[in-house]
Amino acid sequence: MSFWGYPRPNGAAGTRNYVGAISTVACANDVARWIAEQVPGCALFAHQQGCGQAKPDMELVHRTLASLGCNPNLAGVLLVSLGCEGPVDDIMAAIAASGKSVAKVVIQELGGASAAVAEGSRLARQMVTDASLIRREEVDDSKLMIGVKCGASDPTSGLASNPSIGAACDILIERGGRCIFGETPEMMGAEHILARRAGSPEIGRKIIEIVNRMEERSMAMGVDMRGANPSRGNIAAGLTSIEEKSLGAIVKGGTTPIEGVCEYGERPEGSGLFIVDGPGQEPKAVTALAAAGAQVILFSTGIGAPHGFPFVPVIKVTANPKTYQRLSEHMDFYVDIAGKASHKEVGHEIFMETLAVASGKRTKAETLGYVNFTDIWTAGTTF
Amino acid sequence: MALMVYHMYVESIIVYSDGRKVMKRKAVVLRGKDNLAAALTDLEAGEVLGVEVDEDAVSVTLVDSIPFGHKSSLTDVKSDSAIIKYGEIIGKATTDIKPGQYIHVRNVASTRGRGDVAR
Repeated sequence: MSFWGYPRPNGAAGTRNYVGAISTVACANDVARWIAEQVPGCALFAHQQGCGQAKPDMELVHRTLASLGCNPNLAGVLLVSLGCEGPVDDIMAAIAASGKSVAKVVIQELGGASAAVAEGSRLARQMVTDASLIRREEVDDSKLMIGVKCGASDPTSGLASNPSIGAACDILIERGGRCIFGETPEMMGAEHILARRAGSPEIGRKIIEIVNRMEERSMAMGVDMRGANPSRGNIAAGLTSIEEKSLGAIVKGGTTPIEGVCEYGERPEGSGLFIVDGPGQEPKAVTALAAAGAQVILFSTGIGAPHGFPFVPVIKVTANPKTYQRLSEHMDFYVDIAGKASHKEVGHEIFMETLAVASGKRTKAETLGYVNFTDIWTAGTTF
Repeated sequence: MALMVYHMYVESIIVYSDGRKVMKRKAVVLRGKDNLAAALTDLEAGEVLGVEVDEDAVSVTLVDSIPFGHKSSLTDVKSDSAIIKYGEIIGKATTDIKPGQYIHVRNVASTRGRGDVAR
């Protein structure tokens, strides 16, 4: 099977063809947004990070920005910098290595916001024109990376939508493609099961390590995440143990071996199923999937999480009939929890929908423009 | 209410109701190894679940009512033995559990809670 994607110089294929207006520090967000608003065809990526952080977090932010710029859904990238925040040239070089065009505007060097918007808009318009000449081509589905996320979950998630999305992941991976999921806190209690599914002992150790690290961060704040799960609400909904809760979450990645664990902002190498370390919170979790290189995201929700991402289509899948009705303008795919179809059959339908979206079909979040709620996760605090 | 059983896939055994014109799935066994079913609608005590696991037919009369999303045992589970969902151990029985009994925190303990972390 195949999809219609935008060919990129490094052999990757985009499902969208935007020029990224990427803010490199929170202080440049407004200028990046003004440029994106002035130039149709631009997608804004804004966030609250990039300054006043410890070195490991600064490296994480720069790595994430570079990886976002490399996402195949961007034909070109304009970095919008304040100037004093750090190594924008390194980020530029990392993006340029993917073969796409990349430029920068620096507010402090250009003499302020107005000049930066004028120059940035000029550069972005040229990149949009260049991008508009690229035509979709038929691309083998093995070039696809699906990011997988669940949010605003309810009992329908673990019983129907997550297993069905997992079945879709199994299909893509069998066909040579890649899937990636994150949300390290959701692995707690099932990390031993994931580690057993690791492609190598080293990968298994890394899975345990990222879960332990996340737990230690919580413990350092005096909060026992493992002891507090399942919550009273979870128990009322039928969840008996933390392992049951976590199994219901990780089932969305399917059943294949874990081929690697990425740090937040890293991109996986090779094919198969991958994990990226990071939080569950939507704006930061979806960023990790986009940075990993996912060109499309399958997002399972029970109660109804509405938002997408600026340049990666997010397909909302729910098995809660009330949510599908009430939030129909946000929900893309309905899984009939009491229907006759098996998870495998529904997974095939979800996979076909994923290929349609990859080929250009707009998601609900895209038609609404509900896509600009983004941030980057950091492990430590801001100073 | 009589329930008809369809064994459609090894990894997903599906229980249907025969009581209506439209067949409706009433409970799901997520993997063949599981010893429980999760209710996909509120189930009443006395209802009969028929389940086929790898060509073994099992008929289970619900001893307890099982709310939507909650779990019923499908087999005899001895105290301290594994409760299996998604093909994995989600806890251990803290008492003997009979087929058709409600499975929840009152008769299952996590094996991965705070106590498993050596500190």
